[in-house]
Amino acid sequence: MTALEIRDLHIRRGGIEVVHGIDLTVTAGEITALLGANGAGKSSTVLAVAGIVRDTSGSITADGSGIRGLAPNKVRRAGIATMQEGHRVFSDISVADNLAIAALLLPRAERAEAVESMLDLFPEIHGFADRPAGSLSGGQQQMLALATALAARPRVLVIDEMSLGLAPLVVARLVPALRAVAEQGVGVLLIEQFTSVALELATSVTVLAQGLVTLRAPAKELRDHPERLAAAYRLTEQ
Amino acid sequence: MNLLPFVVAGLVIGSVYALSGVGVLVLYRTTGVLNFAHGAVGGMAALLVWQMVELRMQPPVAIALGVAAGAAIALLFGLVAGPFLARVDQLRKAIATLGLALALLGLMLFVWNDKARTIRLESSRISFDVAGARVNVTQLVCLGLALLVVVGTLLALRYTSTGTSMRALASDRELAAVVGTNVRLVENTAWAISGAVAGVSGILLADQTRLEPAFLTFLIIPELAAVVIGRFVSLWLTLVGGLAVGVGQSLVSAWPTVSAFSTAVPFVVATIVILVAARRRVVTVRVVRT
Repeated sequence: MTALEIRDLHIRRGGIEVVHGIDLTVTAGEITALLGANGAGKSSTVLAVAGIVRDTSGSITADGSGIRGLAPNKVRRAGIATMQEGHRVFSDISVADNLAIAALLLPRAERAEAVESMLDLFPEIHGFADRPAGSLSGGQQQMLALATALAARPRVLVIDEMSLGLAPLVVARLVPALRAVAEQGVGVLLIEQFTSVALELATSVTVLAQGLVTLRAPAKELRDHPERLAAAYRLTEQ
Repeated sequence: MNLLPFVVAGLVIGSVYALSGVGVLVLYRTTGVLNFAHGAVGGMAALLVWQMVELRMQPPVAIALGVAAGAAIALLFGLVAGPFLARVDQLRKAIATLGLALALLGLMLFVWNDKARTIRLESSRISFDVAGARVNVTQLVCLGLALLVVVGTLLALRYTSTGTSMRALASDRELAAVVGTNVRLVENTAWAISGAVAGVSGILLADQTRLEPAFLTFLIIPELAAVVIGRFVSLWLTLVGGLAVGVGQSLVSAWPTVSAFSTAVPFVVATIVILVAARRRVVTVRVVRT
């Protein structure tokens, strides 16, 4: 079942078009990787889906409903959770309250349980529930950011650069957590610069280069033929 | 000279500065707007109360409507200007509210002229002696209300959904929106609350001092001094700051030779706090580097 569908999406930033009509489908229960070099248009796509960048045309639909151009809070209420680049958390607010803010979307009776279940999902941050989020390590902040995105049970999770700046041990900890999220039926769009993590997790891969889709293939195929991926990164440079 | 009456008067005025400062601070932290029109909104609410009482309305009803008018004026400005203010830097936001302050001041002068009036609340007619100083019930209300609003605001920020959302906006507006916070709704709530607080403050100041449009409009200066002393963060320090400014102003006005400088007290107190805070930060940095 299609959870998120992007059709002919054009994105302009500062009046300049940076993404030129891309198509992308995220299936429920699967991880779709969006890969590409710096400046390929990956983060712009995330920001457009999240409603932060609104100078766009084309269509973005979630479960059949159009979400392009909606304000970020409306996008989130439509079931799309976004985890922004740089393990972004409410740094001067406690870990538990970071989760409580995200859980406000749930009915009142379910909020406390949602916070507790997210702390249980990441025991590494459970002991720091009362500490300001800014006092956590980078890896712990990334776990909190992921937990915050998941707290109100999204149907689609968009993750921008999950592994950026994190130690391999931390990334290894996040990988099974993300896999478990997808197994629960959540469609995941994973944006990564580092292909190894993405290919390990994803079912399908889309590669962007200079704002255009240069490759669409099953992840397994690219694991077996990495030269195809390398070629897709260079495609528009030729 | 018995300074106690001046200390009492200063504490009362200072508590209203603090009360007003809490309104300014909550709005600033939630929306990023430093509202220079806070005093003018209070002045408008107080003049409406005076007008309604003149028209033989029951004072409690008039006061309730005056507070509601303060909330409505601030909310209306938030609804109309909020979406534009969200896209501009803090200096432009502040200047936009200065425009509102001047517009409200002009409207007050146009409708009611610049004559000084008074609102005499019923509670101000009941008074008693405390160690030689005359204290009335309204003065006790001012002090109690400031404390109540600080405690109430802290509890609301901690335990209510709206308060939690306000903290989220104060911390990271974009992230708050991304996790689902209805930014416009929370901002509008902050405008309405801040306007209601301005209304209450304006009515109390009109009773304790005088009801004059320009005087009430420019009371934003000592109110802002309280917020500066609170470092734009702390509600408790804003309360302390308001009381310090009020008492300082009152004591300076007790001496005829320097009483003309009482209006400078907020600047002096705020400047001392900024300098001490900056000096402490430099010392801390040096210690860390050593």
